[in-house]
Amino acid sequence: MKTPLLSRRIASVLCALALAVPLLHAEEQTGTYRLFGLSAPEREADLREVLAKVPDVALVSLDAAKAEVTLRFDAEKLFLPAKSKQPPAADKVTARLDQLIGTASTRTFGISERSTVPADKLTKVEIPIGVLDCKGCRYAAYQAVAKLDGVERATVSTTPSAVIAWIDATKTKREVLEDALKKARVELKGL
Amino acid sequence: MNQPLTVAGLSAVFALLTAFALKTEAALGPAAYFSQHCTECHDKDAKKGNLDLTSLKPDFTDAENFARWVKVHDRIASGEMPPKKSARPPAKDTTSVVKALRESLLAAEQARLAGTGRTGLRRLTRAEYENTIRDLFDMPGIALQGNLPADGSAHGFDKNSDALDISHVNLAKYVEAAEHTLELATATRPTAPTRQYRRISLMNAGGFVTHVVMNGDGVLLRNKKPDPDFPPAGEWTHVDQGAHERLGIFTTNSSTGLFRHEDESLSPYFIEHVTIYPGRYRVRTSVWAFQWDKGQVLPARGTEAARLSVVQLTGDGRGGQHPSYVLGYYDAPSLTAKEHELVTWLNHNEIIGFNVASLAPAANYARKGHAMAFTGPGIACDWLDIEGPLHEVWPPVAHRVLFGDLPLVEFDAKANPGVTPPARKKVRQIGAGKNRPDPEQGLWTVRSERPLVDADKLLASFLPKAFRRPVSSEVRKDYVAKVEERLKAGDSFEFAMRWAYRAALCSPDFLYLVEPVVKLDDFALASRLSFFLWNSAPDARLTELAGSGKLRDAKTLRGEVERLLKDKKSERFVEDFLGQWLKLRAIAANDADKKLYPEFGPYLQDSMVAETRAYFRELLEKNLDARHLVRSDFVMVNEKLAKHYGIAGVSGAQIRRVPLPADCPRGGFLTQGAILKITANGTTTSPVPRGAFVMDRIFGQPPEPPPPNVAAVEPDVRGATTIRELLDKHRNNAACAGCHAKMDPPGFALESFDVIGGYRTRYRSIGEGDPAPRGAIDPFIGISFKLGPPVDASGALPDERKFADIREFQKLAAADSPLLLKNLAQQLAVYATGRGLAFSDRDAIAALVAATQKQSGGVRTLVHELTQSRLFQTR
Repeated sequence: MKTPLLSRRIASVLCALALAVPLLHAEEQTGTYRLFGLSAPEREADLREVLAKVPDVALVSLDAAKAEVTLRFDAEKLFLPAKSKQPPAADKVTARLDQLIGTASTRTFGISERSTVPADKLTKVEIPIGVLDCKGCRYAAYQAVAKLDGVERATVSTTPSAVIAWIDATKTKREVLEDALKKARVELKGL
Repeated sequence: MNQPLTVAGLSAVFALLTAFALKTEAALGPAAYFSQHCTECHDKDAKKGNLDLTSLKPDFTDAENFARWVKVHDRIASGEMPPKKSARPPAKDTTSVVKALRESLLAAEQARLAGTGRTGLRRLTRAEYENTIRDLFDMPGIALQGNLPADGSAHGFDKNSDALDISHVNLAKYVEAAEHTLELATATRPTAPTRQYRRISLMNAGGFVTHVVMNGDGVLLRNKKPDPDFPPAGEWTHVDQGAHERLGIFTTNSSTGLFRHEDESLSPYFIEHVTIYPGRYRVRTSVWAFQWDKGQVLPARGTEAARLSVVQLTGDGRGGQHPSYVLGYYDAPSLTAKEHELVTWLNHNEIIGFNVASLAPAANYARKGHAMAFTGPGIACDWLDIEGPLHEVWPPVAHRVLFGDLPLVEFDAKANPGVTPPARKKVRQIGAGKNRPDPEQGLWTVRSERPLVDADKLLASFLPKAFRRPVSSEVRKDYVAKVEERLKAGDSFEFAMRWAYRAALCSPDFLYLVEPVVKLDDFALASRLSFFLWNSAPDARLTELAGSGKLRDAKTLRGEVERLLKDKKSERFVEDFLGQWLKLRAIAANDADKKLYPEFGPYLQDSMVAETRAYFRELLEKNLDARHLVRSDFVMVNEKLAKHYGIAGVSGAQIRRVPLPADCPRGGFLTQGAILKITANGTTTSPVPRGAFVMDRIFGQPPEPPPPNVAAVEPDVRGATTIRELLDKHRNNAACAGCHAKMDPPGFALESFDVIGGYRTRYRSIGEGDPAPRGAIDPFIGISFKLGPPVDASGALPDERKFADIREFQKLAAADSPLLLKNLAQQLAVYATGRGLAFSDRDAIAALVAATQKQSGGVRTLVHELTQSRLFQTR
């Protein structure tokens, strides 16, 4: 069947519009994630600074106590022009957000999916350490334990000087954290 | 023992008589003279000093025999022989014999040397080679000599043909050096490499400095206070350097304050610039000093000195390489930042090093409390700026020397079928430099529309510069033929030309100083002058004067000597000449014992060398006379040396002229730290090597080598016996006494100075002795040595004039000004002409000395007289 020229042109415009629809109408979404890198309260300002540098991602809220961050973003804008018409999977979005935040913060912040362990199942461990009056050192101590398997969240307190972690006791124990700190050359008090 | 002459002995003396064929009516002839005054001790039985005159043949063609007769002549002429205890021969007899000997020796030597050049055909030394390449191509820092085999030495200098042999190793290295030079000289891109500017902190990612500062050997300072984001290491040191770096703790433009001196495990440098493109770079830094008091920044004790150096990275660029050479020492005033700027050449993979030079070696790294428990001096470096490579023109001068104005074009393989594209080395950067190579711009090379015509033109320009004289068309054609040969073989024009240039740079015309026999032609004179005062080839002006035949004109020559001396390149002469005449090259031949001399360090050593060079420069500039070789009323010092010498009121790292206090035992070369260190072994001093050095290098009277089977005198560092006591025993040996009587006195006078040139009244000891006061030693240096026996610096010269100490010795030595001037004239003549002095040169030296003395006897005058002399202007 012959299609008139005008009709073909209209058809190609409609096709182009159809392709553009997901972009034009992509919706922003919010997500809450587990946050790595919040070693001490002073790092909150750093986080805001870092997120300001990540395009198309905005900070909605931060729950420092739970080490959770809620972000608003347009998932599709996080990626290069997609080959697939399907929206990116949630785990890929999380990984991409982690990558973008990591790059902007020279890998001092990162995110992952929220913890699935209920808060009442976590054990609080407090390990007294030598005085760490330097932000870099506090971060180093935090980093030594924060990503250990079974550590759900951690922070470094200055008064008293201690590393505080909430752990899943079925997966790890205090001694593992102490060993990790010692390996990082963090002085433990009382040892 | 008075022993009658044997028949054989008498016949030998008669032979002498015939040989000398001289006998005035009024005076004794040599035979009778020797018989009456000499053979009593110097016959075959007594043979004192291993000399048997009765069997010593007057065969002057034999070099050894000739030298012995020269010695006989000298001993009689100086009055040393016959010895004082013997009856003195009538003066007219002595004069007659000396004259007869002299004339016979002169006649024999002149016959031997007739028609031959005195200076042997010699190749360039390593230093001359490097300087010549640097000047020819305007690449003032290209490093070549380190890869060439070491040169030998003859008559005290490496410029003598006897010492400059050549082997297949030399040739192989010359080929490598030429290839390296041509590689660097040739422009291989259409535009100059991008001039990059970078401001660098001493505290940088992955660096050693950051590591030691984290452990308390330094602090981060902001607004001259501890950086609140990085508190000083205290009871606990900082942990995890990488974590700090990722947080950007060290990139906040804070200053780095260091307490720790460079040592075996710390070599501070600015690792964020690793040179990719060799060339000139502008380097600026800002430094200041402070007193650290357990967390507080206070005013410093005075102006400190920071050192910048060049460090060559090797391997993968990691590791603690130590400085290749020092760029300079720079003032760091108390709490006031001072900026210093210089332009220097940097080679591939070179970086800038730093050191808190004036601080004592102190480390808090493993000390309890670290920086927060430390009170002491520190030097802060705000930043270092580096900018370059700086190219005023492109292609650079070096390229134009090779290829003139031929256009640089992108190589087109299709348009050049059968031509091998020029090979390029890939630019590779090692280490942690943040400067990056420019993007590849393709394969660029010079283009010639008429290769052989251009080759001829380019070689006609290059060869005379390289060979330092006009080059005949036949020679040039040979080189053009080489180009043609390579073009036929498929080389690009660039590579064919480089082949010919490489051949030229490895040819005898370049590597050797070609001088005509006897009288130098104008070009040889230009070269001799230039290699004397610049240690390099003549420049365009000298060559032009040589070409026009004007250089030999006395006034013109004088003007050129002045021009050469005023040029910065004359520093090479000062460095090279002193390096050999006064053995400054041996300054680091040994390290001072750390227990006995804990205050010694690289800053002091470099200051010592700088002092001696500056002093000689001052003699030249102010045209001071030869007495200043041993005595002066001023010194050339910086703060470091002034403190070492006990002179107050000198601040800063720069060497300057300082008047001597009335009671100061310094002045002249003999009391300079460099000379005193070179003549000691790092642990002890001995009057013997020091005395021998003074007799040889300063007075030009080298002592005889020690007889075989005589044990050396070993000083006692336990402090039980003084060197003088040990030497007294040695000197009681008649075989040793004669030489030691001449050699030891200067050495005794210098006993007032220890192995690092410090003044002393008692020897240092690591065994017995009294507790030593700290004196001027930095309070951060631990001392464990003790004070041993007292020093006795008195002595008597061979002519029995006595001295009580160094000052009296200096006075006596300075009184022999003609001898000092004569020796300096000899040393300069040997250095400048590249040959040892012969017996027949003595008149020329005497004339030089006389002419110089007529004009106040200054060192600069001596240089002028030397260059005007026949000695200098003949081969």
